[in-house]
Amino acid sequence: MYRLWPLAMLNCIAVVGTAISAPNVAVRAENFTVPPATGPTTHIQVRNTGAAECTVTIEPEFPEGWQWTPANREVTLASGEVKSLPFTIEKASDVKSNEYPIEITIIQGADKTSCQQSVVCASAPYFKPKIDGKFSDWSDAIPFTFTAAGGPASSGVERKTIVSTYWNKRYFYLYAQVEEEKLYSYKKSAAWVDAVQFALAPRTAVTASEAQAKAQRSEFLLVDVGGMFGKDKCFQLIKPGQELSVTQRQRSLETLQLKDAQIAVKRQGKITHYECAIPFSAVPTIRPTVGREIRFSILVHDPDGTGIRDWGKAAGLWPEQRNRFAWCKWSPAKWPADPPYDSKVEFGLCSSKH
Amino acid sequence: MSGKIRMAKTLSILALSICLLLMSGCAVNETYVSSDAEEGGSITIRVASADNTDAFEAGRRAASALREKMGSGSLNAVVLAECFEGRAQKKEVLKGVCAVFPKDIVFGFSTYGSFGQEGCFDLDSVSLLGISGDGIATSAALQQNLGIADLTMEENEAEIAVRLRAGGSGLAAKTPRRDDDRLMVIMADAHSPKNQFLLDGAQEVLGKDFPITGGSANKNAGQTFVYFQGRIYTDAAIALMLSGDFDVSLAGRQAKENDKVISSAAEGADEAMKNMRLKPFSVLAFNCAGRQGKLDNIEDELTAIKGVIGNEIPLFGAYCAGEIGPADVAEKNPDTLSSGVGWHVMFTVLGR
Repeated sequence: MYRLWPLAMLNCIAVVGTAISAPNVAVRAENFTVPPATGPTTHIQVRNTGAAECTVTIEPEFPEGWQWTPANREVTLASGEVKSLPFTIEKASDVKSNEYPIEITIIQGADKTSCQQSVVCASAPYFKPKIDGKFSDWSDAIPFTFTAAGGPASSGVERKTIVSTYWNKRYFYLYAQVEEEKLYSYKKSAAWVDAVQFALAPRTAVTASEAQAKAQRSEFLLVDVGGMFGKDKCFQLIKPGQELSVTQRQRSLETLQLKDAQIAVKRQGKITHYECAIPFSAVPTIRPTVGREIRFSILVHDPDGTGIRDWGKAAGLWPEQRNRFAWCKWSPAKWPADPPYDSKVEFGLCSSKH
Repeated sequence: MSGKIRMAKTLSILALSICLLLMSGCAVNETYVSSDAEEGGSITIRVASADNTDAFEAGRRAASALREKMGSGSLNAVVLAECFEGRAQKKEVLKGVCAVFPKDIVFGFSTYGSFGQEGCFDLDSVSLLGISGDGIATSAALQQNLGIADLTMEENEAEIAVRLRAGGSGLAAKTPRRDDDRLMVIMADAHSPKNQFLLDGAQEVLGKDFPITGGSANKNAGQTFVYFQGRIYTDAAIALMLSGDFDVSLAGRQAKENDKVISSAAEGADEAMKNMRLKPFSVLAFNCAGRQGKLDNIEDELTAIKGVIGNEIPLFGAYCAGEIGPADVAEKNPDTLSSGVGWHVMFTVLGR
């Protein structure tokens, strides 16, 4: 039996990456954490969703002209078990669109299921941009784009978010371009506030499922303050070592302001631009060096449009990876009944895209 | 009238003389040669490192430590691997090193860090390799204006290949040669996979079986420098030739995951040591910064290397953006000793 899953059906989840399921087995190709032309090892995650042990062969097909090894890998999984299978890219080329289609064939006995997914290079090159609201320093970044639809007032219209990042010895930089109808600035009594929320963690960090467990991430919230003389703000919502119960508390954001951060939020046409520099002193568990693999994810709060846009979902995390302790709640953000996906998607610090 | 003409002629000659003087002052000597090696002469190779947020102080301290380790003999060459942010700090490191050693013998490149028996060094650090003794000779060359700074592999691969092959052959051709040449060390602003093109050019001159090792400079924006006779260059490559009555053995290993990075480093070091039939007196290791990034604990790889080579043979290691040496790949040309690759650690053992 050979089935090719309709691409349209997969794209209903997200444009960039999509978690895929075959009977009893789910697969997900991880994003590249360095530009693929450098020949990295990438991973395909395989999860046994069935009740019994199973053995499958996973055969990826990377973009045309690429070379990789091995051609396939056989894996045996207990019920519920997840394994990460390495594939080494021996020859590849980077593309400006930063979208790389991958076809993954799952072979289980006589059955074959072929699935399509698109991954990105999720990596921050080394650079020292100026955080000045001019956004002129971002041409050396490796932007990734994801779209989201739905939400309270969007009528199903898709909205784009473009995320660029840099790093250097002292700072992690983020530049998010958020397509949205209107910008709602941060005010104490506001019913709606637009914001960008993102998390950084070491590669080995995990999100526990108990409120008493300790956080292994640093999480930040960026908001526009509005007005002629308003200074845009960055709040640090959680630090490594804090109890995860913090994530569920409504706290005064004012006490969480990160004074050492630099931030500029500007509205141009239908795009809100968020530009910020976060000192690595606020992310003490990450040692910034070239090639360092970390975990990163981002939520965009667009309350009058798409609602929460979740990179974790767009990057193809599995529904089981939703975790209410993965992100800190804050007011007046509107949180859906289903919590967002885990805040720990693979990411890298690289040297340069050139 | 004739007085005016004489005055004009005098001024012209004066202007021309000033121009010539200025031009000669600005001209860069692109080669360096030490005195020849004597058979059976002494060879001293030592390594010293320092880390300090004051770049000048780091350079000066590392150089002072090296000076002390080297003893009284004059040095043939000092190889520098530094990891500081930005041109200004890099200039200060050079100044610090050149406050102790003459500029003429200082060569090197910007890296992602270095390692040796003293440990692993990343940000705000410098390591130096000192070479002295009448049993070893050095020569060096600089190839400026490789012409690839604004080109990308996606759009300009063919042009990059042409320019780097020309640069590589130019570099090798201008490197002063001796009958007892043993090893060329290339340090270049041409990272993997571009480093293969540069090496292709060098091998056109030296031959595919000549031992060549080296590394690509840090490719972080604003840090892509190589150093020749104490001066900073970008979009350039340098070569250092080591000569004398010693042997070299090379081995390379590739890895992209923590455990394999550690085990492959030990395997590579072991192969290079075992293939050295004479008494080893130094180990060079050009390592990939990407491998370093895969390590859960950066020291683990060094511990594995030291487990093979021990603590007595001076080890000079640098984390690079591409490596030159024996490629650890499936499809390898058996006639070619060295390749330009990434994700490798390239060991060279020098013995006599």
